Amino acid sequence: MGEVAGIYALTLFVVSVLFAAVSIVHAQTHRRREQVRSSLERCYLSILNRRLLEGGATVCHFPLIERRSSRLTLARVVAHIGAVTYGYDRRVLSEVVRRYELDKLLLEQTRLSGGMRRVQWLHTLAQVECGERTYRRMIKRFTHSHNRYIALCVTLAALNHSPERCIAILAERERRLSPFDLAEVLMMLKRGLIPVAYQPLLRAEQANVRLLGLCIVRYFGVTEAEEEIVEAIATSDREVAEAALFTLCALRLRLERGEVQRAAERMSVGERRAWYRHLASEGYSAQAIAHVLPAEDRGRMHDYVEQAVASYKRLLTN
Amino acid sequence: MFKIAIISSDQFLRTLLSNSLGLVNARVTSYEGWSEELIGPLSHSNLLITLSSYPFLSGYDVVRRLRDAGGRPRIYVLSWLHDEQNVMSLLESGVDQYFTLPVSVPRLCGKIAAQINEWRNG
Repeated sequence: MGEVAGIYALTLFVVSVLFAAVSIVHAQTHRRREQVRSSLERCYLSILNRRLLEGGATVCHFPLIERRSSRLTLARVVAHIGAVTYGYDRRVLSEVVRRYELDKLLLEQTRLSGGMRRVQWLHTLAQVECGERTYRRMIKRFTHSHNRYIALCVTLAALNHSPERCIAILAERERRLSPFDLAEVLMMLKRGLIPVAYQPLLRAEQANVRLLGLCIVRYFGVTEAEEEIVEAIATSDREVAEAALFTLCALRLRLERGEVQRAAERMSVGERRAWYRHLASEGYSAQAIAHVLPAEDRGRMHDYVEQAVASYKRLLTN
Repeated sequence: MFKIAIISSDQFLRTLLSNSLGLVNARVTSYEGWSEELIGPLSHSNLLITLSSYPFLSGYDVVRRLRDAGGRPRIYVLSWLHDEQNVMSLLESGVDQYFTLPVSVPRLCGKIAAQINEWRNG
């Protein structure tokens, strides 16, 4: 009996030692790979950045580029440069993508991955300039995905591929753009990839296009769009009307209007509270908006304003 | 030589800025994040470029500490935050320039090159 227990204990000990050894080797390999990837990333970034700043021929040479992992690192560097900078010659980055077929590789990697990794690779692919064939293949495969992140990546890729069709792409999109999606589109716009003309966007019939227009107006503080914003508040689409109302407040424009009052009346209790909090954080005092507030809500608005001021997050401006 | 310090926890942006500013004839050092021990060395820099705005908004009063340590570096903040309230708070707390990301690296380098020229000419 004692011998059997001893054999079991020994087996368990050997298995645990083996398991620990495999874990250590795996961790070391992973760390070494990460170090190599990080060094390569710095090296590729340095080569690309120097070429972008100094100009010259568009052809760049990268060490160890024949490896698949190196090309994936290069793809990430190209996408990241595109995401955090603007004003560079985009032809250099396009040439790198074309020469090393990074778009094809990224699409392949997207297919091989699952879950959030797939989304990450697809997002990288959406940020580089795809060739026509890769773009078609990507659209064919992912355009009907139910995953909202994948749907966003497909929209971003389409906008990156044909920026002149910006309005049509957004109009054709079935899913509504969330604030997160709008922020991603806005970043593309800020990098100069898509046009900033807000008027056609605000006058469009499709909700997604109007939401983007309102987002642009809010971001750039376009107070000249006051009339279009007020029109959007009166629209039957609740989401657009709410976005327009918040935009009007974000621009600190006058709220004494029938449209605003009617929109406030349509709101549920929760929505109205959220709006009051937004008003307080935007610096509206309770007195300044007394005429659009029902009498029973004035006390609540006072509380929100007091909280905003007491937290030092906001000085009253209006 | 004109001394530039870059403080960023984002390795990619740190490398990007270090590489770019290496071309403007300045000594560039980069740090991963803010700490109490860094105040001394940072105060001797001519220009601080930071990608985190929290030390200026958290009540830590970085600018006063830098000045107490004997330096008067110019401070540039690069951040994804773009709302007016944050930008105003940063400028009021002593930040000299505020850039929102995505940033134009050639323009940033041009601005810093002009700063270096100004410094050289006294």
